[in-house]
Amino acid sequence: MLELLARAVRRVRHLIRRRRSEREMDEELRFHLEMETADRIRAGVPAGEARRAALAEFGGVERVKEDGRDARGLRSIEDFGRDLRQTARTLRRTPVFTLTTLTTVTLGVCATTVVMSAVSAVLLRRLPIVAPEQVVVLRERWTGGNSGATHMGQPVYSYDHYLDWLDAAPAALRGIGGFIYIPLSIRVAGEARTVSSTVASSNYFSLLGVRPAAGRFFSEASERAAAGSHEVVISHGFWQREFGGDPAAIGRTVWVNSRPMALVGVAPPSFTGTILGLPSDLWIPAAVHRVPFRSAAAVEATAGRAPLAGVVARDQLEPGAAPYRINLTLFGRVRENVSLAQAREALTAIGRRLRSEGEWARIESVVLEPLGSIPSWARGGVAAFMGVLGGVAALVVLIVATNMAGLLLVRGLHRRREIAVRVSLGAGRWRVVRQLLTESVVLGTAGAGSGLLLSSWVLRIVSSWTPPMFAQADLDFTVDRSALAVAVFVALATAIGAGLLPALATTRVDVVTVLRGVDSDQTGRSGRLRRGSVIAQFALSLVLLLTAGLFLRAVHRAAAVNPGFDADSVLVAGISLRPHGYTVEAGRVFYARLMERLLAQPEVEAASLAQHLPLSGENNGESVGLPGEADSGGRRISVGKGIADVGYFETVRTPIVAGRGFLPTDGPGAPPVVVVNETLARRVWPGRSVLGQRIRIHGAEREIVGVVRDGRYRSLGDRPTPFAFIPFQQAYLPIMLAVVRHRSGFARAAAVLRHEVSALNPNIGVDRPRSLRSIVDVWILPQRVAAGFVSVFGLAGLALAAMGIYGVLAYLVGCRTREFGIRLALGARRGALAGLVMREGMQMVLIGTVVGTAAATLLTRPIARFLYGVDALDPLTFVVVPVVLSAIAALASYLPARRAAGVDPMISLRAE
Amino acid sequence: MTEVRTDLLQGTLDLLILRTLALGPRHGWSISKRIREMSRDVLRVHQGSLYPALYRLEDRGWITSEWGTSPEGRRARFYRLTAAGRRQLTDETEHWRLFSLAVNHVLQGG
Repeated sequence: MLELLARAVRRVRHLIRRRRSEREMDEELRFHLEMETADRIRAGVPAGEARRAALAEFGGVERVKEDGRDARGLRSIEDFGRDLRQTARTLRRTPVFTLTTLTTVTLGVCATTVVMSAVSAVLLRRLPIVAPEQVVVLRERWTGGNSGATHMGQPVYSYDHYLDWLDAAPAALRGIGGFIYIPLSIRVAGEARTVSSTVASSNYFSLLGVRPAAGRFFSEASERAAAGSHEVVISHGFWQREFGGDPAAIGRTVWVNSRPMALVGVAPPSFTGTILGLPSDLWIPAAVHRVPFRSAAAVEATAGRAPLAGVVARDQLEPGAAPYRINLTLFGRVRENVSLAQAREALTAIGRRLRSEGEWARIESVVLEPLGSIPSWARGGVAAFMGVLGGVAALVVLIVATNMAGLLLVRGLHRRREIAVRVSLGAGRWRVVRQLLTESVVLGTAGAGSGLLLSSWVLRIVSSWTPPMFAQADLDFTVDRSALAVAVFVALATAIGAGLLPALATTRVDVVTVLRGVDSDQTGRSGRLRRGSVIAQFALSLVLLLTAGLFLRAVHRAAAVNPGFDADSVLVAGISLRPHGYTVEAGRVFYARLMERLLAQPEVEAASLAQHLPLSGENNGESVGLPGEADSGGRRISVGKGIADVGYFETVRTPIVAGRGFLPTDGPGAPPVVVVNETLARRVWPGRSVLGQRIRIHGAEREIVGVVRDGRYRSLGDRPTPFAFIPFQQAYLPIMLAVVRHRSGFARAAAVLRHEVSALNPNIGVDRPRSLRSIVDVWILPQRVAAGFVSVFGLAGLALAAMGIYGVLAYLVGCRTREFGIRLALGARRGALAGLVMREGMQMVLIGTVVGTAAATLLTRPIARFLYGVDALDPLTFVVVPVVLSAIAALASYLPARRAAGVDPMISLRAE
Repeated sequence: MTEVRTDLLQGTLDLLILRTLALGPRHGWSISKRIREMSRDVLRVHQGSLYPALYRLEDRGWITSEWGTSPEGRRARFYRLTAAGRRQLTDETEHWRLFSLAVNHVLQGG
């Protein structure tokens, strides 16, 4: 192996220093001759005679040099160089062919690279931590099949439970840590802002093996000690944005969730938390939640500054308010010498001990899961979607291959004469095949290069575009190394695969017939190949365009869905009081004052509070019994529910079809009320008025005071489900969404909201202000992307197929000009000739349509889940697309047909 | 004087060159001269075979070359045996012995 490598290096060195090698060879041979001559002279031969004799004995100098080059293995390399030069010449002579093929390969490589890079960026990226394969998430399986609560698809357990695990200190793990992804309010100066953050155990960073870019990470004295709990670590991005990367920022006091905390360190640029795509800007120790709040005044006094002016909420902060409970996802690092199975067994044994004494649920086993990059709830859908894109890319590559094969074939036929001449002059078939293959490899390589350029450009655009999915989704798409390898492989494999068949077909020439010029090859093997490639291209483009059509229909269908509210000019943002130490009473007052202040702003048309974003995918329904209904005895119904404040229906413009919405009089002391949607009303009291009826929901027997139009609550694809709205005043939550219908632009409205919240309490930030429209759009984003992507490649494929049909027919007409001339001379009608050519074309189209449609009925099945109820065999799509395509193909065959009809018998007969 | 064409047996020339170089570096002409002398003028290496063979051996990595000065004070390319070449020489020599022994057996037998 090493030997071969050394040999290759020597050969390449000779090749690079070819001129020098040649000179040295000359010099060496000259030296030899002179020595030989001198030897003869010494033996007494006269000088002239000696030299002639030496030369004669030597043989031809050039011959020796040629053999010498051969011995160094230079000949094959030089042949290759000659092939390359010849290829460059031929390609330059036929710019249309060259450009078409290059474009085709470029498209194929671009499609593959973009999809592969996206897949690897989204699905295959690994966390930038030390040995990520050792890091596992602990999921407890409890008696009764339950696993406890989850957050972002990962299991979470109480902080106290985490401390129990920490005390148990399983020997199989190097340590146990915990984290939870949560928005936190941070105030550096001026208004507070809410940023995506992680609440983490103090050993979080050291366990993951991350090193600080500046400062230090959490002090790891003990989770139980209060010391060191008021520390915050910021992301590298946050450090750059907020502090301009100033090292003096470290040591400063910032306010996080109304607590003064010391900024101790900066995470490295590569590390943005344990959920890729959802980067954290802050990390605070989980232990901070064990420390009771002090009054704001006391906090400010100890922080060494004057009490903040205008803090309305100050007197509402309750000294010693119970710190709120926090749940954590538990993770550990398995020791090197312990297998996952062993670790699992050991942890199960410890887990059973942890909850043994009369608790409500016991641990049956502990399951270890990889610390995932994509939240598991999203993984299935994302993977399926990527699969669809991957399938499309594969189809594109197939089109490229067939198209290239078709082009090379036609080209090969044009060059039959040239090839025949070369073969008759003694060129070996292998030599000619190699020359033809060199051509396709050159085209493939060049196409790969331009495809990579194009795809890095496309990926830059994709990365700069912020999807409306998550406020801070960070999708960093770059041309990935493995994607690059795959793309280059695809290009070369395509080029060689597509080049080999035509090369073999065109070199199998009958020299005599070709040179005599009577060979028109219409029925032979290459004719079939050529037709086959056109049919395949047409069928493949049809599959792509049918897919694109289905996605477009889905986008259209989804956009036409009435979500049950008017999404335009509505801003939604989270306002959480939970971490700020508000009592229930203080919280009510805060939210009420916020609403008052907002409604007083000229920019605000209407404002309210809601528990969930519409279409957020969240679901906390309950099973509702129906008392007072004799005939429904024991019947229960699953009802979705959400908490909303006064004016909610007016703000989002959900029509109230009967009764009323919530009023300020529906307070905590007033009779409990509920507003239901039409489906719930119809389901339970069909055909009757429901106003005044009572149901037991959300912990109270409530009177139905209003009925609202059905809407989509969890997703845009929802079927109408029973839903009930509970008034906020009767169901307080310290974490609500402000819903603001604005008269101004979105940015202005967001600024107003931020300002009003800050005026009430400067430590509270506004979480991710979004427009309601963007939330609706998220639901059709995958379809939009897919429709766009598939359409572009489908249309490109169609263009290529149309060109293929045109090319084949034009060639056919060219070959049969003489035959047509004779037919005309014998009295054939011109229309009949045109019909002949059209028939030939439409025959290919027909076969392509049948094959393509059949393939599409099989291939579109997996995308049904993305189609919002559009049938995967949607009749409209399956009629319109093939018809349009056939029309385009008919046009492509019309042009050559017209030329066939226009043949002048005199000219065509004389041409021979 | 009988001359033997050295290209009769493939690999023979390679063996002769390697053997010649085992005694120390030489340039092309002196290799051919040395082979003639050692074979008592029986074996004459055709120059047209010598240089391709040298390049082939170099390509295989059995010998290396560098420019030096000949005893006559001329610039000349000197070839030297590499470690791999020395191993090759041992193998080839052994092969040759076996081969010539076998041929002798055949010729003397029956």
